[in-house]
Amino acid sequence: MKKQTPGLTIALAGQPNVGKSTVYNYLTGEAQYVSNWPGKTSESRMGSIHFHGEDLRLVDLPGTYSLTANSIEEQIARQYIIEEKPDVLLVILDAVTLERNLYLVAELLCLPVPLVLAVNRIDLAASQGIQIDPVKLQSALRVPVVELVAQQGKGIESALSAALQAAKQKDSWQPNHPAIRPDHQTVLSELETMIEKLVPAPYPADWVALKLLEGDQLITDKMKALMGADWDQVHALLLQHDDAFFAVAGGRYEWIARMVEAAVTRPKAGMLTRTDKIDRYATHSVWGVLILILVMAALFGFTFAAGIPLQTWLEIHLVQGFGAWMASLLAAAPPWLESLVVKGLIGGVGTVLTLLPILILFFFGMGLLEDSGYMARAAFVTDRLMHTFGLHGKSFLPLSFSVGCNVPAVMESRVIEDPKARLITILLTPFIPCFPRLSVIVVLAPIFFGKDAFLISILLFSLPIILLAVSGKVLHEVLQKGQHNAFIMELPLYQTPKLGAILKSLWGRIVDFLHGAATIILFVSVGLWALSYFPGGEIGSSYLALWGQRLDPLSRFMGLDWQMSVALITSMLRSENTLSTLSVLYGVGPQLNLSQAVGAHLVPAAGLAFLAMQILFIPCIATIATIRTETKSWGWTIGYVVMRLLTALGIGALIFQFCRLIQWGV
Amino acid sequence: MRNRFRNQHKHHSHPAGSQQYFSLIDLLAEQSGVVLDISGDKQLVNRMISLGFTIGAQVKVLNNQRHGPILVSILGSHFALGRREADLIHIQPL
Repeated sequence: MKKQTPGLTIALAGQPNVGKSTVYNYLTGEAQYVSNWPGKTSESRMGSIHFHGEDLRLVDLPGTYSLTANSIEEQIARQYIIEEKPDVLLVILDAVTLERNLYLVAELLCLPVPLVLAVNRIDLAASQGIQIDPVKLQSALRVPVVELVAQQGKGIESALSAALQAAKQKDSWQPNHPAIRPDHQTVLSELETMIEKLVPAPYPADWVALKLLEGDQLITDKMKALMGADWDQVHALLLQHDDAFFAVAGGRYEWIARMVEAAVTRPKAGMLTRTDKIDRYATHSVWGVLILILVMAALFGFTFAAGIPLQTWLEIHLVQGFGAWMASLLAAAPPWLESLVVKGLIGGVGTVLTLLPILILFFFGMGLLEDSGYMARAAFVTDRLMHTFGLHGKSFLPLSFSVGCNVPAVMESRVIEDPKARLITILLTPFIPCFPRLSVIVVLAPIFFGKDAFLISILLFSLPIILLAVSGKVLHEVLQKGQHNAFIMELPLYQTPKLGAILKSLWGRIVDFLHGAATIILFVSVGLWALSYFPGGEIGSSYLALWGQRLDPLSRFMGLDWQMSVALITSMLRSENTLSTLSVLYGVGPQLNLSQAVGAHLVPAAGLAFLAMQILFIPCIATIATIRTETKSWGWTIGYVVMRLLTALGIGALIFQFCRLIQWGV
Repeated sequence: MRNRFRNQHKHHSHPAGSQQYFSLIDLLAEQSGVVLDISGDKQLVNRMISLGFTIGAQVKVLNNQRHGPILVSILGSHFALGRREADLIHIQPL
């Protein structure tokens, strides 16, 4: 990220969920999705823009509450500001929570980069009776202040102009600095003298001294390593003042109170806002749970009711219709080519595309809930339940996305700050079976169990939930033994959902899904097709069948025939593949439908074992690939897949052998 | 390490036996208090401070149901806090 000489660099900073990404997207025209959930941008992004005849670089830093190394985001942001020295920081502040937002400003003012403050959501603040006078704020802080309504694009260009001007007048930058309380000033300057000569180049010594006093772990470790024997002296001084960080922080808040005294008027306490009124019910221990259940039931009901007919339509017209058309077109071509195109490409990738309507509807609904601010309440309500899984409330978001598709769900785990808690969530999320996986049970259960199908389906659905809880507990014990996941989460104000924001988030998630479909799934579809086609040109004598037959003794132990085992393996490609593979292997055709074929081959006990394994089996390839990208570890990814495989097979065997023992359905 | 810090700090701001401690979880919905002290490891305390939980700040509990996280309002924003985190915040009820 070295700077090239011409062109200024403007970095966007601010606390989480204040609208930085909205400003960045407005200026760069990018479509990165934003949501009403704190902490979506965890890495910095960079873009080039042309503004008023100048080429500028724009950097979107992750949202941070402060500059102490409490989280990866905070480390990234402060390291960038100090080491890369942007020409100016455009700090986006939320008008409603201005005082808290100024805490970050108080920290940023200690760094040698000029600031311009843009107070966002002025309109929302006004609707709550909060009046902010930017001119008074500007004269108190001696930092340029502009008003912003980023959602509507208002004020963004004047904010950028102000930032540009500040960058050009860097030398006259003289803001009002927050000072540490008088009782700690001596120790701070003492500390500064001790470390002055040893602080590495771009880091300001006064800032490092302040961070040491605050007990910043990263800076402490760094200085300890740098100073060697000289550290003892510093350490002794720090021990004497080990509560100094209250003085540092307290000093900042006192400074903030002085700064906003003339500029901000708040309504009298006790006025109930719309958010307060809704939250009385939405976060209530009884009503809140009922509301959550209703909201989720409505979302799933809507997705199924509208999505399944659409999927069927696409299946008939896109996959079968287009496949037949291609087959007729390729009638003269070699048979393997026709088979590759029709079965491998259209059958594999096309089937995935038929899932799109369901996913679009589901993600649209989730986007609506997220943008309104409701999902944060869902996290609040489910926190206790999540603790029984070794997780906490924030994991509810990825887990609920899982029902639609595990791929974007695994990515949603980024909302969890603690790396270990995030890893656990990444690994647990794919336990929740997605729509396609559930659809296999919905189709096959009535064939095996007749009128008991509903009850047995419920039992089957509870299996992954139980395993999720058990695995969560185990992972928590192994990775975070005795460690407690602190649950601190900001609940954003409710807002009327904005179609633009929802569509952007929907688009982002669909792209994630299609990206998987286009790369890995295409590759694996063709590979699997090849295994099921060669050497004989038909699946019954293919390599896949051959291997399936080799696995026969193992399969028998779980009550399966080799066709069933192969069907399970192909579900790794796409979860709903089980059905199409079975149809092919059992020779389903005009004379034989799937239920007759399956009914003839399997007894109910084997069917139960099969469906249990189907719902617990390894997640699809696209999910595995996402786990690898998100954990950045092959070890965890492979270990996870092996564990899931062994668990599924073990439980399948257990169920079948138990059924034999009690003579049920054999 | 954690305990040592916690005890030392408690002692520092409240001479032993001077008064009963109240923490944020002792407050019921609609009750407010002023933050006296925050115990716990520095990283957590730093994080809470940056969210506005500083000594002298006024907190209002919006929702507290004896189990599960509590909901509080501070400096114009709303936060969900786990019970354990809330218990680290010592307050003077208003």
